[in-house]
Amino acid sequence: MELLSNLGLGFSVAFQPMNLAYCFLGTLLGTLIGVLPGIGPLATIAMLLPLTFGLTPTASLIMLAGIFYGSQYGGSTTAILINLPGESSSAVTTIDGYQMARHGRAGPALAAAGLSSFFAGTVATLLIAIVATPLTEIAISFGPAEYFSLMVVGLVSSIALASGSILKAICMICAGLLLGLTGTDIYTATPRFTFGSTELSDGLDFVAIAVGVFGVAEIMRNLEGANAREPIIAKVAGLFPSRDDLRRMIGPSIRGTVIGSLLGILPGGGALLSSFVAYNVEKKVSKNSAEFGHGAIEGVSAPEAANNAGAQTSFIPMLSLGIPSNAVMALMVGAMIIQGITPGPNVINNNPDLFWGLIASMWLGNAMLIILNLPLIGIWVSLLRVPYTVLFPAIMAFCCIGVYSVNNSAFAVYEITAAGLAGYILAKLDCEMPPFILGFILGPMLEEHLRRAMIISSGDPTVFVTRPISAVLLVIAVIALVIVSLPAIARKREVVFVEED
Amino acid sequence: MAVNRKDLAAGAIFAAFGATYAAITWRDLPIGEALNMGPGYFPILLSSLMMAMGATIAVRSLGSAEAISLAAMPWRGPLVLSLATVLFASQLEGLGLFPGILATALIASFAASPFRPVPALLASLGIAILCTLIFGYGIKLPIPIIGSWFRWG
Repeated sequence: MELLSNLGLGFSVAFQPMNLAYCFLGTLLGTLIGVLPGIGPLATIAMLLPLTFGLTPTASLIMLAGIFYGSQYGGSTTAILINLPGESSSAVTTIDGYQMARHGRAGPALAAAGLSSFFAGTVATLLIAIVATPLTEIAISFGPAEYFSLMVVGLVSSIALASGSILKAICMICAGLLLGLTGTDIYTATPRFTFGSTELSDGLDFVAIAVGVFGVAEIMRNLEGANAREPIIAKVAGLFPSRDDLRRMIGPSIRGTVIGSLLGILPGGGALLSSFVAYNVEKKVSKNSAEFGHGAIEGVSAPEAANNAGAQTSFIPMLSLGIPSNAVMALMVGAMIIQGITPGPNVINNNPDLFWGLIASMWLGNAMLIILNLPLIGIWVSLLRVPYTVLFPAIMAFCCIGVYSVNNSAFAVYEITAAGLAGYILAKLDCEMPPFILGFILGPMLEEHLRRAMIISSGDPTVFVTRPISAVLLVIAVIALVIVSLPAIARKREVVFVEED
Repeated sequence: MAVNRKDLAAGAIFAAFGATYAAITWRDLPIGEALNMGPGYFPILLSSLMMAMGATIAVRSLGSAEAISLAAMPWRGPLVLSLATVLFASQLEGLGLFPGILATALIASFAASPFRPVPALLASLGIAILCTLIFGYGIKLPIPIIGSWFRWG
């Protein structure tokens, strides 16, 4: 019954006209930018972040969450219609979705993606509401040692998800952690790594760094690809799936939701892994497995349900423990900190309206997406025709003024330049950004918990292995690290991620 | 035995970054001890780890199974885009919001090849109007819409 009253509180917050409006605005903008080819959710969130800072914390997080699943959804639309995944988590959708579109069934494919995502979103939202409270109660008893170990698990799992070399991913984490420490040391007020600059004494601007490595560096890479290539856009006719289609969607949606929800909770999990696993499972269990790869509606339903479920449940560790499990959640944590909210188990008690309002708004946002996407699909299709050469200068200008507006700081715009160039060069050397941004966000927290743990234990480093929860977490981290370094798994990871590219 | 030049470069960059940070830490920041960590304790751990890992990547790249060369770096895009952001940061106050955004978008357009002036100009005008509405009139940034350079007298 507590759940009902909590959800009641959540909906009363989410239905406040302003919050409803920002939820709608977020999903709309997210879809708008997410549909544009070559711009994934990370770039979308990074470039739209500045727009949310003037709002109240609740409205701002509601809008950000809307941007996130809107962009995710927009990515599926591009995947189906032009065979170009807007983001990696909808890459598997291109396999069967685009085939369906080529056979004149773009409408049912889009409907399958939309309905499966909505179903998955509903289940996952309920799951967040059910799981979050007990998890926060456990987390309240966590000391600094447990937090330190938990963050180590989060960082290690970001290595598992990076497609390239493990050593490089570790280096990227270290670079992120070190750059995250820039600024004034909280214990001694000593300036660190500021190179004598007063602008850096508050640390590097997180929004500028995110915009640089995800937005600008991505544009630099896209520019060297096949430019001026006109995409072939499939025609959308007859949106509604037949009764047979609907029947075939039920099983895959349910299985996809279960897989996505479970993988989403895991640190490092989230949408990408979920959709990939769901597709492969469905291919094995489906009666129509021969049709997979040639336009099976199951091959659209399952991964779309899974990536949406995974995207939603990855909020669980972020909301209840304050630990971002992937780069998107790292951006959410960064936004919370800027809003003056300390992410962690106390959010649910200190800001219950924010916590439950955000959860309720996720369901509302999913419902809005259905309305936004299915009847209005014509608008999004016409957006797909905007050539990239026109698009990217606009994005560049928008990123500059957006980042400038956060603190009215021209220095932050120079940080974009530096982050963009560095991100571009590192990407050319096959180094990936998600581990870096996780490290960047977690750097100061990781150090603080390490210091506190050592003070409490009187300088005894064994505290991390003698406290049971911390020990278990560290064992998990070590096992994960060993598994990804096994040669057999390493080869398999390459195959998995190459297929996804 | 062949050289993986991508890994060699990445390893060298990481090792150099780690070394730089280790040197700065060593010079400027008290390390302290485990019980009472100074501001340099955590950084020295991280930068040492980075040096070691970077060096390992570089050494291993020398005995790679296949030779991998550095992919060609087309410098036009990155340079033009960087120029656009630097111009924005340094000249925004003088130019004002609308001209500043227009100029940034126009300069960024030169990163595309082929550069097509008419669509570029139209798109830049569009984004400049949109951003002026959002950031000038909506968020009310304390930057003049038209900067001092365009005012006479």
